[in-house]
Amino acid sequence: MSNEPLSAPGGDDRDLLRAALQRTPECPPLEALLGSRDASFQTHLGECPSCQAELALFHQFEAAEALPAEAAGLAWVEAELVRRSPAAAPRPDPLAARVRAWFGLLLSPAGRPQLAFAACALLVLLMAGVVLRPGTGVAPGVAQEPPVWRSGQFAATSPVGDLSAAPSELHWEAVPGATSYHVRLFEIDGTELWSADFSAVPAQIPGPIAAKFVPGRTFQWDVAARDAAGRTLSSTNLQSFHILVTSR
Amino acid sequence: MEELPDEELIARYQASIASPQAERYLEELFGRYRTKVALWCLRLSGDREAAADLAQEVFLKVFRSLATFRGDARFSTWLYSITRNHCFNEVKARASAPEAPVDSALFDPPDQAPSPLAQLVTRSSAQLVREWMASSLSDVEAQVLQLHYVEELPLEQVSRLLQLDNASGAKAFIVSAKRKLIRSAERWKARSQGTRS
Repeated sequence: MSNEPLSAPGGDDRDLLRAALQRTPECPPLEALLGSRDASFQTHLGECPSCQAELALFHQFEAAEALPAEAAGLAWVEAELVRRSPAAAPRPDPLAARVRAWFGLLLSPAGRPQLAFAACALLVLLMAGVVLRPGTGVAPGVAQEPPVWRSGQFAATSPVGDLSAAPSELHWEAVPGATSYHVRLFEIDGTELWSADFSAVPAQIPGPIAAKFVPGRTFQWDVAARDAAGRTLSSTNLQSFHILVTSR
Repeated sequence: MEELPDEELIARYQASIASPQAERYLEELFGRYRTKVALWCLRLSGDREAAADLAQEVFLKVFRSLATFRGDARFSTWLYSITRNHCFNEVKARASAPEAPVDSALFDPPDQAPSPLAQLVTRSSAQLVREWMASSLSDVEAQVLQLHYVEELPLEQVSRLLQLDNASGAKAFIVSAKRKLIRSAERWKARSQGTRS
């Protein structure tokens, strides 16, 4: 044991405690502490407050047990992570579909600016929807529930998922009061391939655009319903479809 | 896919980065760990929007590095390390000013003389103090000291992360921990003097 002073004259407890709590060369990595039956590690763990604290924090991270007071906030954060995606396809697992497209953008460096732009645009749109929505004001002191977004209020119905052949039309649910629909089609990295306005369902995909639907590729699309004044009434979540590579 | 271990998912992801299938592996990993990361970020930030920002940054950092994940450690511990370090760094960066020492009237006299604890252990070593900590502090006290003094997290964040719902939060645990350490130091000093006399 060293006899070096821990605290110089005039020093305070902060330095002393920090010195005592720092990891030491003997501290094994967290991985080694987990499930290791090595007696030396277990002995070290019993004597090292730094490793004890680290292990306890990891177990807390792993357990992820939200207190009742945290539940609403946690649900909001999780939903927000998904909602920030421009993708939101109500497939068998809507959440999974949204995340899939989010990561699709992530995978492509070229998609990152589009991701940021789309997230900002979506946020503005959603905020406008929340503000304009009657009866959503929250009284002071009342716990806020996760906000209700206006996107995804009607569904983009086809094409979705894995397709054996390239689609030629886009279908969605009609929206009462809508006089036009703005349709957008994207590459998986968020690059816009095509957009057009239609007065009714379905939208015919132009031949040169449909020619890009080659096997093995994934595309995304969405629709915004507009009224006669050109205001967006609602929009679909981003939908995606994948052209399968068929074996011969 | 749900049955695959994390590491197998990652291996398959690495083998299929250029294909659409790669997204599905990321999606699966995201689904498995979204709650853990989100809760950690929420506790540290104490704010929904900030937590969402932090969690998104964590996942972007993780998935951008996933192609080079070597499997030396479990994905869960790797993710934990990234989450922990990213959040701690962000919280520290956002902290506006250093906090006053806890219970300074008790441990840091106005004349700037060494505190009682510091005076008692100046001839000891970090190892000795660690032994006192291991033998006398509760798990929560040790965690509070670690987070506040080593990670330099503000007390408010420490309280939230450890879910301390007592009136004064982490501060109370620091005070009690210091008292225990002083008692340990006094006992050690008494034993040392008895041995020498």
